[in-house]
Amino acid sequence: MVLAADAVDLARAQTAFSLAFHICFAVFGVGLPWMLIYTQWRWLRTGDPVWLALTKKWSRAFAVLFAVGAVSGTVLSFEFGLLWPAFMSKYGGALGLSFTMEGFAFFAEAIFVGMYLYGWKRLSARAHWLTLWPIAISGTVSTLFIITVNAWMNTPRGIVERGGKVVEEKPLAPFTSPSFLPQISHMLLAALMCAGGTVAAIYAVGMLRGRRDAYHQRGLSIGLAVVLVCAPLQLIAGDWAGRNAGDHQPLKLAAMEGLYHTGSNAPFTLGGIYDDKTGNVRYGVEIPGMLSLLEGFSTRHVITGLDSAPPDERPDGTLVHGAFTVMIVAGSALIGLSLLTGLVVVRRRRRGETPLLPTGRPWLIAAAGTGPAAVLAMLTGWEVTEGGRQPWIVGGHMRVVDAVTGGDGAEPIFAGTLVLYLSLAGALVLILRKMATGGPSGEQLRPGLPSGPSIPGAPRPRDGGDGRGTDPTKPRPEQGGDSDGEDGRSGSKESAPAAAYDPAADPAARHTARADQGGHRPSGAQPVLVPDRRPGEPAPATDPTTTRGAAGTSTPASTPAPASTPAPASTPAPAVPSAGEPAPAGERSASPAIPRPRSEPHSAGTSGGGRPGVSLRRGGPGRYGLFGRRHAGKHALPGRRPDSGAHTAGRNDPGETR
Amino acid sequence: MTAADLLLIVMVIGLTAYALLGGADFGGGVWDLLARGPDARDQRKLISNAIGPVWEANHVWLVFIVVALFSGFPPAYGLVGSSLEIPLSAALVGIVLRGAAYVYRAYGAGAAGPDHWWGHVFAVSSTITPFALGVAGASLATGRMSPDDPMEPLRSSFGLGCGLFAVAATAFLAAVYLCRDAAASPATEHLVPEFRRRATGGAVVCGALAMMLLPLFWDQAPVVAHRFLDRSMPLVGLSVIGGAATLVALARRQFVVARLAAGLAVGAMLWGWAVAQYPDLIVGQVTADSAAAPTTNIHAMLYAVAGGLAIVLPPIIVLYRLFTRPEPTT
Repeated sequence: MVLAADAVDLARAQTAFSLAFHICFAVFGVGLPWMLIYTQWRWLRTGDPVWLALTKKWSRAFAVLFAVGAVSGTVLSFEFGLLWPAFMSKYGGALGLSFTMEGFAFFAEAIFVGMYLYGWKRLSARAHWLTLWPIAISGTVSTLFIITVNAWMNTPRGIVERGGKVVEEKPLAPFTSPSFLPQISHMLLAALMCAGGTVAAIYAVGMLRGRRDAYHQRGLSIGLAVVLVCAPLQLIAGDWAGRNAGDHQPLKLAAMEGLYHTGSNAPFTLGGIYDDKTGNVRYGVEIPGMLSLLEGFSTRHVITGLDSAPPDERPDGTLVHGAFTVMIVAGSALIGLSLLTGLVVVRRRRRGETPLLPTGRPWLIAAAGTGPAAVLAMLTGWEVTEGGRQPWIVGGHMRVVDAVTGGDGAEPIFAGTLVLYLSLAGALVLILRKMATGGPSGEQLRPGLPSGPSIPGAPRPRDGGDGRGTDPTKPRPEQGGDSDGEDGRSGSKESAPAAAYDPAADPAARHTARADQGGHRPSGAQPVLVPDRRPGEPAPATDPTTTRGAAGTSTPASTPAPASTPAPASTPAPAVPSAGEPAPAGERSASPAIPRPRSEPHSAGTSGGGRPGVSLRRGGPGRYGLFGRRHAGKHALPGRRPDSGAHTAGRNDPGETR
Repeated sequence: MTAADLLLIVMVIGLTAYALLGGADFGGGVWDLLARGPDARDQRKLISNAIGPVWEANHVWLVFIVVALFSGFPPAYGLVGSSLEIPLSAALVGIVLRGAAYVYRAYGAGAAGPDHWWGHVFAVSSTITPFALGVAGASLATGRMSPDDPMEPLRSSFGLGCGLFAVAATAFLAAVYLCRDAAASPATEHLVPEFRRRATGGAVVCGALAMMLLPLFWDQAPVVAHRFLDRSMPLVGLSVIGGAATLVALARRQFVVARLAAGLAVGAMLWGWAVAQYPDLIVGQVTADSAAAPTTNIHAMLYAVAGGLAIVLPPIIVLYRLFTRPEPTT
């Protein structure tokens, strides 16, 4: 059965590859919506264009990631049948409920993603924000359903087989697997960490290149907050998962640890290469008795080793131990960074220093590493779970070799999958990279303007200083007329979907970037992404314009300023100049002057009193706010800004363009 | 009627939804591929705008069918997976490329190659998918498929004909739907005559293909063909009426009516096939009864499906209502 073994390897490789590909997108489907809920909520509350810019940028990235995740997920649902027909024939019934519910969760997600991505102008601001909730919830819930399947494959429950035939399958079997709870908590935290870490990494790189504006600062803060808050929790969840493996899949634990000999006083081994032949780990760091201590709280606790099973029933210790080590190292680094950052934040807060998050170069480099570290840990963690399950496809019930298809088309299909996925991934990286560079809508910092980075503590000189040349896609702001630079760039950076919400662009023009550029070029001159909060500025413009006009009337009435703002906001160029100025005065007090992004009638009522309270409450640790919002207020530079009102006003559409 | 039968009905409903909604998205890709002349760019924009908000939701119907098949009829799914490897892989490639190319074009801003490249990828893959699914569906009716010979579905003239028919039907649906989209906004109204012409042409092609397929159907899928004659004639009648009504409505510029009628034409055809296929899932190999999962599992599935649809249908309706009108421009 040499050929069969090959087929098994190919099928496994194909499944592993497709799953890894899909997971990398799925984690963003879980994590990003929650983060979007936060940023867009902040925008609704404050009208601050920076929040809108973050929201729009992320929603664009989310659109792409979600679509690729959706189609790659479809491939998986087919692959179960194409590659593992025997598995699906036998156990499809037991897994059906989980998959069905996952299907509906995905359904709900897809529906609301459509509404969210294309509904900026069709929905009221609040309704638009509300569509994020079903997206986030169903994204999370679909992870949960899928994990039930995997947990069941690891530790099946609720089926009765007689003579190789399934005679009874409890419909809820997957939900009763003992691995389910630890696995789902471990995975959800991992998903959040991957999404948060990647976001943090992107903004950290941006800041390392000198873009230390409020936009980058906040993007970094949110991402870091997510990844660093989750990291310590992940320690607990991971420990739970490990214990669970020890209880229900002792061989998996043994493989993770590279432990061959069953016995008490089992060592905890980190690193090294497990040698299949000798049963030893070479070059590893061994802590004697630690594993017994961890698992049973006593060095006398007996840990099952790989020697307890015949060789053909052992997982591959080399692979699983290696993956486990990588996961532990990456995870520990994140946890360490989390604790360190926590300490520094507390200290800075006590001293009253302003951005609570340290943004020195080493910190930024560390932050830039969180994304890759989280993704690496997530992928290797999956390798541990799946590799540790071997040789079973359904633990103790069916072997992987018995589940596979015997077809000889496996090789070309696998090769095709590799080529297809890798080229799609390559293209995607290019696209995301382009999205990630530059400011909210692709425009750059303009150090020349009074409104440089307003985050105190950011080393301003750097603004123009670096990033030079490294990135062809970002023209230097300083050179030439701003408008030139901006124009070219805004054209190149903005992308289509933007146009989808862009009032300036013909609705029909949505899909092409060209059209989009056309729409935006005029507004190119409005560049600066600056300041934290420009309350007077109605950037929010986009959606609710029409309705907001109405709602807005009540607001402007109270203060002189932006009576006209809501409308102009949507059509970038003209009207706006009048807007903006007076308002900056500290949005908190002047809140009524802020054109509320919300359009509902009732919002007008709550806006005045409600907002400040909420924003304070949510501001992070104390009033300083992890995300620096307090300072944003403080540093809004009301005095300096007036003349830049025009810029400001025009600028809001970068927001629109996302 | 057993629980398995009920599940089958639910699956055919899902298949109909996929054909009428997701199918039209693929058909839009076909017209993207065939866009010619000075209006080509406008046409592509119209198509892209029309499918943008809904294609992902429409696509989920396929996932729904697959999941229902492997949960409710696991052995059938195992057999389908191993025997229809080639057409299903082709459909998957089409699905992946279509989705990726669509968002890459929409959001990529040229970062990963010019938009029109992705546009072509989108168009070609949109055409491959319905073709491959048509071939796969035909194999279920002929029963000429086995794990030992994955190429077999591609050697059947009836299968290839069904693939073409599927492409034509999706293109027909898309053209009819697009008439309504184009007419909704003054900016795109000039595209209406073109799509009306295409819708008419699509209807004619579908009719002609159906006629040509009949003898092949009789010859290569005799079992289903006999049942078709016995059971499906009323549905064929409905389909013909739907097709004719579509043409009349198009001529009278009643585009909403045309949409419904076109949906009736294609949907009735699909049900005609489904009714004739029953009780076989794969003719000569697997029947609904023999493949059904244990009843308790199917019951659980049905409850889950009912609950899921109850949750999902209202938002679907909202989604479509939301995007029927052109975007507010102010």
